[in-house]
Amino acid sequence: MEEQLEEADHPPLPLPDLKVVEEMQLGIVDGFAEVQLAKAQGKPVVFSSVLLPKEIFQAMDVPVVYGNVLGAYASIFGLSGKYCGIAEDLGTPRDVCAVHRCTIGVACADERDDFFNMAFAVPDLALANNFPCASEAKSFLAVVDKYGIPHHVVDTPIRSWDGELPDHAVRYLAGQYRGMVAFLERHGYRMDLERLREEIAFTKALNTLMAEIEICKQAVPAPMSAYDSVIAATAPLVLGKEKRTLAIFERLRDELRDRVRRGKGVVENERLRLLWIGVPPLCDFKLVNYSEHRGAVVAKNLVELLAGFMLDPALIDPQYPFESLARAQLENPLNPPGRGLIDYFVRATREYRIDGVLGAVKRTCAMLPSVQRLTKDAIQRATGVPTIIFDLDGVDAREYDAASTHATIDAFLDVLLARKEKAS
Amino acid sequence: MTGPARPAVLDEFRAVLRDPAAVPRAWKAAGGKVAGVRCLFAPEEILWAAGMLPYPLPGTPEPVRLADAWLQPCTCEFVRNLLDHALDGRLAFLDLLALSNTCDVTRRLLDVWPQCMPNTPVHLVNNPQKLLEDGNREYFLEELRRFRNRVEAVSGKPVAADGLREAIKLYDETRALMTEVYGMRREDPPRLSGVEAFVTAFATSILPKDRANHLLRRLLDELRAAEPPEGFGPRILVTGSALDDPALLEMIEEVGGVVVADDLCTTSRWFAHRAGTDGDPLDALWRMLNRRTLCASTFPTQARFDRILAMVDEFHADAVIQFNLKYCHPFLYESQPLRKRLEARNIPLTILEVGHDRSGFGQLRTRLQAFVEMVEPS
Ligand code: SF4
Ligand code: SF4
Repeated sequence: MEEQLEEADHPPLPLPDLKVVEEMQLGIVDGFAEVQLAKAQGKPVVFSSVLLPKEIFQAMDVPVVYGNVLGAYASIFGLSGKYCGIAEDLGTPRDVCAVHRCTIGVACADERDDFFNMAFAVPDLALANNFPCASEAKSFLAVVDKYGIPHHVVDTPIRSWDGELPDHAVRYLAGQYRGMVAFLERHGYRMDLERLREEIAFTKALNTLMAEIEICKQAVPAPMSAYDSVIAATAPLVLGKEKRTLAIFERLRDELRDRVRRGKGVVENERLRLLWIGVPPLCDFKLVNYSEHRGAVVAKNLVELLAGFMLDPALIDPQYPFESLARAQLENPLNPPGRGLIDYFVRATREYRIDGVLGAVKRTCAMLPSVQRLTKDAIQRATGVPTIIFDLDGVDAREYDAASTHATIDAFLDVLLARKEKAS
Repeated sequence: MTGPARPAVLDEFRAVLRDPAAVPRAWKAAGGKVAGVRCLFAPEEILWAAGMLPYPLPGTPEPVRLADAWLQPCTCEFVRNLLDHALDGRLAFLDLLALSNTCDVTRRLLDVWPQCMPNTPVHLVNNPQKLLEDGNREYFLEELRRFRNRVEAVSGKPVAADGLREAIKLYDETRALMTEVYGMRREDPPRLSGVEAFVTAFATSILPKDRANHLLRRLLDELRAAEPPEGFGPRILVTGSALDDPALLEMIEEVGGVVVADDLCTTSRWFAHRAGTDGDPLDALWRMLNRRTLCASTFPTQARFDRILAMVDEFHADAVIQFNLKYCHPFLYESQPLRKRLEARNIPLTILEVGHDRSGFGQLRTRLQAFVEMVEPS
């Protein structure tokens, strides 16, 4: 990873603060390499969205290239200008999501940087998903065209109904997941339902652990840095669904519990706690820790939802695998319209004892910018906590301006500190 | 379009577009109720059967003023323009807003609208985006039933099967008449210009359909009797985002192109399929909507491309113009794959990214002129 960064002439990634997170980071790199191995064994590789049920892939032993994750990594490695440029040269308009332009660039490039030579394999099949935004289901067209591969779309209804989730919606999405299985079976894979139940039981166990970790993160002072949280939230994507992974997360929970018991925070003298409700600054990951120099910690970040590991364990029943996955996905706060997300952020503001909210607007995101004003109002109404909404394309480095972003955050921190002083 | 006199009835369609909201206002003044509709999957037939006027919300080509406080400027300008109309009171006559599960921003109106027009209820028909599948029937029918129940509650009038069948019959007639009008553009030269066809289709979508059908019959008679116009350039098909303003088509025709076909939400997409009155009317609506793979928010995308290619053949188009509204993600993503498919058939394509408020129109004329000059008429 470090070599990649040097090549990219990019601000270095922060170092993990917790030992166990460092271990996860190394595991992530190893995990990516597995797809090449599977390809060499002749298994058809699937190009997919990260927001499709990973349990299905695991239960069928399907090697997956998560396109949008590689897109995110292109930005993390400072290569977004290059890969967005490749996508644009192929005809992808510059106004569509920068993550997906990176994805198209990585997937369709004739030559790739080292990390992608390892993590990307030419796909044989493609699966797309319209959850939670149009980009997830439309960007894969470029990849399908490039490789001329069979593809399949999974349709997730939005959560438009008031009250209880209606059965017809759960049945429909469960049917969509069965359709995804049928597509994979048509291309040589076999579903083992027992194995699927085990995978779902694993998710339930992992998500239960994640929920315990979240409770630790609510402590004051915050025991976990924003960057560590991002790594931990995305690690299960590539770390195998094995006991070893559960053990790592148990260790993370225990380390955090220990920190909480000792009152050890990530900054010496914690003065402010922040919530980040926009697309995170992938091309300058240091930004999530930036406020720490002023004693302000990003205690909670949207990325933990984007990675898709926050499916409510209470909604998962391994005996009904497809229905469980459907129910959990439909109730995912990311599922439009915005009220699920707004409620989630209002709750997070309370539970993480937030002092201020950073609402970064990524110009090319079709989904989040239309909910930020409502989130700001809802948080203000429910808790009195202020939000700053500011433009930040933290994905396409060509549109990112570190100095002005720092200035915006600093000015907001000044307001929050003055507010706090006045209140005390 | 140069040549003989144009059908007089076209003036009536033009008059509708000069002030589209006059139609729902008049309906309201006569004691009726009005539902704003956006987009193609909230079936108007159900609203009509409940005695409501469905009003497919059109925008106006003016800069966004108030909506930016609710939706960031990097979201679709068409939707922000509609929200402006809601915020400044121009849509105060609405009794219901009927949405469908289409693009990201349209879906977001479910959150934002109640803040902007708290007294107008909103209902979203949560249609499947994946169409052409029998497997979505149970789900989609339940969504249509829920919509019917909501419409009954708002209108205060039950929607009986017979009434719904009558509404379908009326709408099917409109769709058949529109198809016949559009069929006249297959001819060489076409019997009506692209702008005339657009005005007819768009105005028809806004008018009560009994009145529209009467005007369409007159138009067909007048077109049949009229001398065909003369003097034509390359035949163009236009596709893309929501177009509620004839200015772009006018510009294409002013620089010498002839718009012989359009694949747009305001025009051919709404009348492309018919429901029929056989069997259960909700089932008939499902069968029709399940074939509407005409919107870039539906799948399979290939079905949309196939339709565009079929229209190129049917209307003998020499070239395609795709226009995308800024930040219209569903259509923006289709630019590249559409280009590939058209290139494979040697059909020239130009892609325009335009503002709903006509910003950037100045530079378009030169580009369009160069494109039209480059296309060789067949
Ligand atoms: S939610 Fe926004 S940033 Fe994320 S993939 Fe969709 S458009 Fe891109
Ligand atoms: S123009 Fe595009 S973004 Fe705007 S409402 Fe239509 S489909 Fe949605």
